[in-house]
Amino acid sequence: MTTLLQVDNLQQTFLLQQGLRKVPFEALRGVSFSLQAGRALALVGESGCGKSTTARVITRMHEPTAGRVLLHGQDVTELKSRRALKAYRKSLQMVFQDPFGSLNPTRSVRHHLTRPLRLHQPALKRRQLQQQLEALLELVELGDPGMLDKYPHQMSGGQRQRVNLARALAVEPEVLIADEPTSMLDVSIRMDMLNLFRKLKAERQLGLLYITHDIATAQYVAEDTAVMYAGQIVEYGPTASVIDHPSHDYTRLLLSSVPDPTRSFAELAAEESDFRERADRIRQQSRAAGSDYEKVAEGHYCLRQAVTQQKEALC
Amino acid sequence: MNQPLLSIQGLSVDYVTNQDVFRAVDKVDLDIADNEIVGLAGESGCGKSTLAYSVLNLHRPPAFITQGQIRYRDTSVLDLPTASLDRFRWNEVGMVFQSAMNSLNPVVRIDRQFLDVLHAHTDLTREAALARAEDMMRLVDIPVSRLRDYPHQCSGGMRQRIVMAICLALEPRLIIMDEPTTALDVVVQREILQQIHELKQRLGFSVLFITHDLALMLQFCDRIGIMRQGRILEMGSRDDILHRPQNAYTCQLLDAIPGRHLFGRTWQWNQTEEAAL
Repeated sequence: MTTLLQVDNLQQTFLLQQGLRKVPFEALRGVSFSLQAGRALALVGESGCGKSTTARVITRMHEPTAGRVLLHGQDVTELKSRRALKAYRKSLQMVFQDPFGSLNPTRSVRHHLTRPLRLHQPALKRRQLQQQLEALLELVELGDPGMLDKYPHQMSGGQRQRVNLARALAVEPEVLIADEPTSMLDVSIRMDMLNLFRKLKAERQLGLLYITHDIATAQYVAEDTAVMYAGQIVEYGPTASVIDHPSHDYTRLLLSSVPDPTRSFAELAAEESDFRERADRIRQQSRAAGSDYEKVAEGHYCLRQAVTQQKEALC
Repeated sequence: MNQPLLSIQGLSVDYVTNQDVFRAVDKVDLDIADNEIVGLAGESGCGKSTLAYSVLNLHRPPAFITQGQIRYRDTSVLDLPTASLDRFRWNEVGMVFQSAMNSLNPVVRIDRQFLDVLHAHTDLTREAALARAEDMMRLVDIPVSRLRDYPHQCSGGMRQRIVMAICLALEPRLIIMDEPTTALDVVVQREILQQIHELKQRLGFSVLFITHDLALMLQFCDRIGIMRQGRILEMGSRDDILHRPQNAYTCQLLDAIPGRHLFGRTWQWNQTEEAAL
């Protein structure tokens, strides 16, 4: 297995303006993981837990406060020259959450896909370009070449997200970061999209970072899962192991909140009337800074958080 | 069967454009009884929100209600004159809109937003209205001191609960919820829906619940309608939809529910949580 991307003890502190003072906010508190070719890692957590900040640091939209991001062993946070950055962006691409906001409404699909092809392969002939465009549509299962002349408003959310994916794949990246790629799509389309990600990951040997708040979808795409809370990874390991034997309370909280059609709220309210108190308590506890990870099973680790700190946090 | 609280009969809604007429809701029948939670599930564009807007007669051109009627108890909603319609909205039927957490005015403190609604719809004095607002905040478990905050100082889940509280302050008999939790993460979603369920048992109201998340709907609703292209394809109890779906499209939606392996699982929590208290 080749390690493509390695994230090492990433820290990110933002200064928030509060009145006249600036208050530090620790968005990332020591995040580490690695991505392998042909494998996917699901980064799971609620909004505000730092999962998108992680993506933004990796894509160099933010400078990290501390820590390193290594691509093939080379630290990319030190890349400065235009050329080096361009090469890095060719190896690493991103698909964003909002399929409506991430396409220019005044431009056709052809424009969106031609740009990355031209930017990274300036010598491309017109006929080759057309071939590549059609191949890209084929790849993301948008079939009909007539799609090339459509505009974003003429397409459904699912089709637009496929165009976004094609745009990202146009430069043949090694690493793909997908930030909540299905959360704005209808449930019925979500599955097709996840299957497409899985297929492409295998075919193109992509290292995929799948960022989501929905732990139930992680197993359709990702071999490994990391659960994040308040800027720390609280539990990580093979997806099946994390889901079947969750050992951090926050992971259990996430899993227990997945809508279960077989149990009505009438039953749940009777059985777990203290759900909200427990959820608050777990969130409080999970906020404590952790030092090291405890081994749960092969490759499966859980963050150890100081109990004294938990008590302090509760007071 | 007793007289339903709300009865929609043969309702059609058309969007009229220069080129043609698009029928968004096509001859839909729907009843909601007292204290019942009825769900409408379907993909975006299937007409479920359009149907919800019709109940409050909120449509503006180019949308027109072209057929059918809506009866709320003995009143025909579509025939109400403007003044009575204003009383009917919020007093009798409340609505929590999609991304409701953004429907609070960002530059007005939360207590003011309670007062606006209460003044427009009741004769309460300022003091009585404030007391009402405080009661409602307690009802949704938010500290009363938060009334002096601006919306942006509260988390998304909290804002959602505040919108619920404002809606409940007028004690409507029916609340329409259009994708109330779509923008929230799963834990907060579960907290809010469980709370609505408890409030419903305490206060007694009916809910028309709209979402594209069928799994959630099956947990929350007594009866469920599956909508597609403006029609209700299938209407049944949650048991019927879950175990005896009749329509191929319903089966397709059921198959698309993720996390099947998690269903029916029970959870063991770490001991420290009790110890820590």
